[in-house]
Amino acid sequence: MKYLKSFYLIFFIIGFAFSQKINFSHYHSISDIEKILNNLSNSKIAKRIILTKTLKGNNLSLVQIGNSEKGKPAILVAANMEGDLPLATEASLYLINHILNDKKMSDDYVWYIIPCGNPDAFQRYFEKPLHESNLNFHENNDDLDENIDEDGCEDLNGDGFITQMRVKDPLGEWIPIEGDSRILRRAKPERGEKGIYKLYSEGIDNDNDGLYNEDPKGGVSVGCNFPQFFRYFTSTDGKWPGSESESKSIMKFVNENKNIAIVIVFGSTNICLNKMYGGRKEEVNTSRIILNRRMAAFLNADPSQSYSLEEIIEMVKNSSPPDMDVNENTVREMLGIGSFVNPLSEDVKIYEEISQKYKNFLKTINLDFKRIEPEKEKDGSFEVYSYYQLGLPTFSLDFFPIPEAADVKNEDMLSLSQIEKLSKDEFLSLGKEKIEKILKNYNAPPNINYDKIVELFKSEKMDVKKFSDLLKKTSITVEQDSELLKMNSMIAYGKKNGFETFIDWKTYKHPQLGEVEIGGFKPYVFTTPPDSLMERLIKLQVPFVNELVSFLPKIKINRVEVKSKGNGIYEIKAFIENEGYLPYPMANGIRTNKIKPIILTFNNKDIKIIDGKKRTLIKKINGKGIELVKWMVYSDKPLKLKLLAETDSALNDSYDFELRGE
Amino acid sequence: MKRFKKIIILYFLFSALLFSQQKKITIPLSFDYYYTYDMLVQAIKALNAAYPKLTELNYIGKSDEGRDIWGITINNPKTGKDIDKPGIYVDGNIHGNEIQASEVCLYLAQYLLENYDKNQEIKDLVDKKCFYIIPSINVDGRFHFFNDPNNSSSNRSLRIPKDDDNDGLIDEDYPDDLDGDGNICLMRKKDPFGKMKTLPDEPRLMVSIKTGEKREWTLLGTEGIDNDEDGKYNEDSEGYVDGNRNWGYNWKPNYIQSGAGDYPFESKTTTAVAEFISKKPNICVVWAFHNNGGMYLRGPSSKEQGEYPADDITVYNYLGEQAERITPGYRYMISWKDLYTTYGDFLEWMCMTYGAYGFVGELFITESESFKSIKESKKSPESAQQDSDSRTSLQRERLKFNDHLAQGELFKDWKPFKHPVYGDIEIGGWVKMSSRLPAPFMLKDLVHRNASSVIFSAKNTPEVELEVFDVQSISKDLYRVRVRLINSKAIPTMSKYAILKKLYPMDMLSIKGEKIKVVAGGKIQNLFNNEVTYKEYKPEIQFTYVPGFSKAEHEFIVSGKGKIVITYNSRWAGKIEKEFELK
Repeated sequence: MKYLKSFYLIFFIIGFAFSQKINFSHYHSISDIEKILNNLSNSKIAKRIILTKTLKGNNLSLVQIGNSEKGKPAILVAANMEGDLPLATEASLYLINHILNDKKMSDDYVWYIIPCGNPDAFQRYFEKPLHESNLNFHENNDDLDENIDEDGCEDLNGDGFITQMRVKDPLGEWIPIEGDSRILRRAKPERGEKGIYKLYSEGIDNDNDGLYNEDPKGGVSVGCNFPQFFRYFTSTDGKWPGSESESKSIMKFVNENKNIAIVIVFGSTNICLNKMYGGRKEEVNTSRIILNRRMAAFLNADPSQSYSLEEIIEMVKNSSPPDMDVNENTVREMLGIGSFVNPLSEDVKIYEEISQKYKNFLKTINLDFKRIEPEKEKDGSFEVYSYYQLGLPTFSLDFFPIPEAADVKNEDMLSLSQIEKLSKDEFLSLGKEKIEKILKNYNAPPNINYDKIVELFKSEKMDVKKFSDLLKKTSITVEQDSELLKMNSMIAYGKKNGFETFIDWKTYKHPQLGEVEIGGFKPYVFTTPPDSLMERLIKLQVPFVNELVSFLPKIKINRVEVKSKGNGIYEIKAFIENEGYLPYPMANGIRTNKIKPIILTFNNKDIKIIDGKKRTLIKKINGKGIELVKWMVYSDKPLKLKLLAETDSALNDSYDFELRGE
Repeated sequence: MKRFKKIIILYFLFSALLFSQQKKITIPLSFDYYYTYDMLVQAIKALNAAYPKLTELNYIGKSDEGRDIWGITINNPKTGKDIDKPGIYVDGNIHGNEIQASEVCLYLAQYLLENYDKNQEIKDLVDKKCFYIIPSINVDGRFHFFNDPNNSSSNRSLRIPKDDDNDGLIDEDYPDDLDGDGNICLMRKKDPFGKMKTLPDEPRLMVSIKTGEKREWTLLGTEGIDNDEDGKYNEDSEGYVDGNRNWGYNWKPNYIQSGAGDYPFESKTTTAVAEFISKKPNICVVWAFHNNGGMYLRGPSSKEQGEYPADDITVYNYLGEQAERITPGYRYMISWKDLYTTYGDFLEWMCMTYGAYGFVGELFITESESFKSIKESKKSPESAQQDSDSRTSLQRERLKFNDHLAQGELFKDWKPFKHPVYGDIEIGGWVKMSSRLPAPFMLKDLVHRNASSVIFSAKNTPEVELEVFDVQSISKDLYRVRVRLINSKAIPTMSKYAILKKLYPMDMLSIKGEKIKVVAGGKIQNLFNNEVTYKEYKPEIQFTYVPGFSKAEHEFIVSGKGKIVITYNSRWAGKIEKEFELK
């Protein structure tokens, strides 16, 4: 079975290669993409929709492939929402090409593909000098002075790249790392280190205010301009969610098209490899809620006592008219504790299972090496908006896994998890030198030296577990180290694949700062592999989209059973099945109340229903699950009936049956 | 069906037109009746036509159903452009049923205009400030409130079709005016197992029975049929995006707060108003009128935001407490704390993203429909509202008010009706134009007092004077120049909140001269001790603000001679230039 699957995949990849019409030997610029999208009008099944025009006059386009019919699931692929990820845009073009060449894909599904959510930022990738940015061109007075957008970067050394400037300065905060004097890290004054360099982005202080490049052209980071976890009062994320026409037009589209069954983001995160980020603090502890006076009086409860949410729901039910729909959402709204801020546990289970499938997929394409971690979902990003507010199954893929380089410098440094696994004797046998190195590396308090450790261990006041826990707390190096690891890995990867990642520091006479050195990592290098590697990466990885789509829920009427009860009375039992792997909807879809229920109706309006509803709503069917629905009806003569099951995004079905007396 | 709907709308439009033609709108406007949408538009245009030199008609945009939203700007161009003066923004009727809010706006406009030549204080006010008035935001709601059957609380929302009950059908189960009287009243049914009984001395009122009492009635809810036959009545009426929950600050989705819409500014209506406001950065005071309850509310509108900065609270208290005196019975309150939590409301958006000061005026107090002699009112203790007895006694009093001051127009007596599902029922209760709306004879008092609250805050928008109070020669060709900005009003030239959250650049004080060089410049922290904090770069431009009833002082060290121009430029307080000569 497993073989079969990889065979299928290989077949698939070959299929891709042969059907290809778009040339992926280089990154496509905005005008290239315009040409490709304009040519879509030749295809009968595809069309381009312009969601909005940006401030720079670029089109924010969406490609629809396949006709939308009621119930036919639509797949929304949102690529490069940040605007600084050309690779994601290429992946989306690759996907478009593939779907156009595989009729079944557009027969079974409707595809909505946004090649780039932030075209203005995207445009910058094709401009000289190359300057990495995810901002659109919305005017923004970043430094709150008398001018707007007056101090951006300049390519001082004329090499075509905006890199960095380092200047020796007694107040400097940066020092070179051991083993590679090109790479800088922040000095740690708490460990007695003293900075050598000040670090700036390349350019001059155009407005003579002592700050360098602090108010560049633009703008707003469209990729962070969505309502979930939106960050107010930043200089980059916009004044409010949807303040940009790009993000607002995308929200308009996704809310108006209820046939969207799944959202797949091509970007910098990977919610296939890792499940969604959790661990946010809940706004309110739902197991201990204290009611205000008015609410307590209404519910006949004690305002000085705390209640669990479940208890309060029961109380509200008891104090409300019987026909009022009291559920968790309505009660949360009453209490003002509405939001959920972490992936719901039912969904987490699904994400974990799919993550396993993704890892298996990576094996089949030989990309299962230890890689630099993808980014976490950003606050205000489309991913979190989709999961927490649209209530849709939401996945994302990044396409540039950088293999983790062996850490040369710290090769003999034990990681905390390694330390944790040692026995007491093993640990002590490391010896004075190594243990002191460990203490230094993890920033242990100065009063804990080797002798103290030995003493504590011998008196059993400390064990290895306690020790490593202590280091976990004192270690502030973790984040910085992961940044260093990323830089080292990037350089190693570039070396191996024969492309330049780093521009060596060269002295330059700066009109304001005096002698500086200009250099650093090339812009876009961490996200955008060179042309020569691009095609292979997307060709290998995009096919996982097919697998994601295969998980979609499919609602079917499994069967209908009719039982005559005599005197023209019949009992009808319908077994409604979800043939897909994903539930319909997921738990977040229930919480957000955004997904329409499955609606069951009979085609014959004259049918006399004694017990049951004319329109039966099923809120949820689990993946591979079945729900039973019953009616009691009356008919004085035999009657041919059709039962219809309708959904917005998980197919429709019908079932013919007959009421017939015995 | 859709076409049919269109025809109905056309019919209503036409009949409304006929009606409005009958009622000719003339200046001065009268405030003893309510203005329909068409009359309101005419009134705004009539004000503009009557006072063309002081007003500008503002086309705000189209509503969700395509009606025009109109505003009027009151500004005297002879004393300067509107955006160079402190702006006072006033709107109303963002909830379709809260119609008298528009009358407050109209009255305010008319009062300012007709007294311009008669009253020196008003003349000064209009000459120094600028008023942006949008009487009705939810014009669709207003239209349908007048033209469709309603009760006083229905038809609040913007007209964006939504599936409120998530059953796959949109706006399919609305209230129905079964008896065809234009009101959505209540339905009750005689029921020996019901939970209500009528009051022996007031059979129009029902109360819950106590254990052992004879059961008489079941209250069935608002007038209507179960249009979609799902067992629930009137649960998915037209709309429901609440105009006051669809703004961009701290917006939360519909499942957390119903009426939010799918995303901020989903509505064309809110978007159009926001676009208008974005062009008026001088707005420093905001008034949004609603009904009801007799409240002047300020933010924050949710607890999680924390309290406003102390300096801002001082301003709010000064304005809010005065408003309480101007309109007795109204209480100045904090929105989330004293009323309830809201997300994405208009006022908070203005305060948090534009840094303005703002109030929501909740017009009308039901208790003002009183019917008691002095002696009687002394007898009855003022008890809290939540216990059902006081509610009943209020109802009883209001019925007497209805009988003797409104000649029965506010309450519809119960009348039998044959309901398709419930059978024999009775329909009756408070009519549409009641409960949240004052009887027309009380309207004039309401609009005048509330307009006066606005005027007090308008008078307190910043007025800044600039004086060069100290020029000293330090050595040959080197001078110390000291400048003082004095704000004689309560509202600062920038809210503390705007400063803390860096919403926009602070006021700028700059010094220029052809033959001078600015050596240093800074803010004088303590004049007596000569404490100055110098600005390291570009000393010729100082960023500053002037608190209410207070001052800001700056110092420049200048070398050279000749003409010098000092400029103060503020989003709220306008622009001041002062010239002098260094000799």
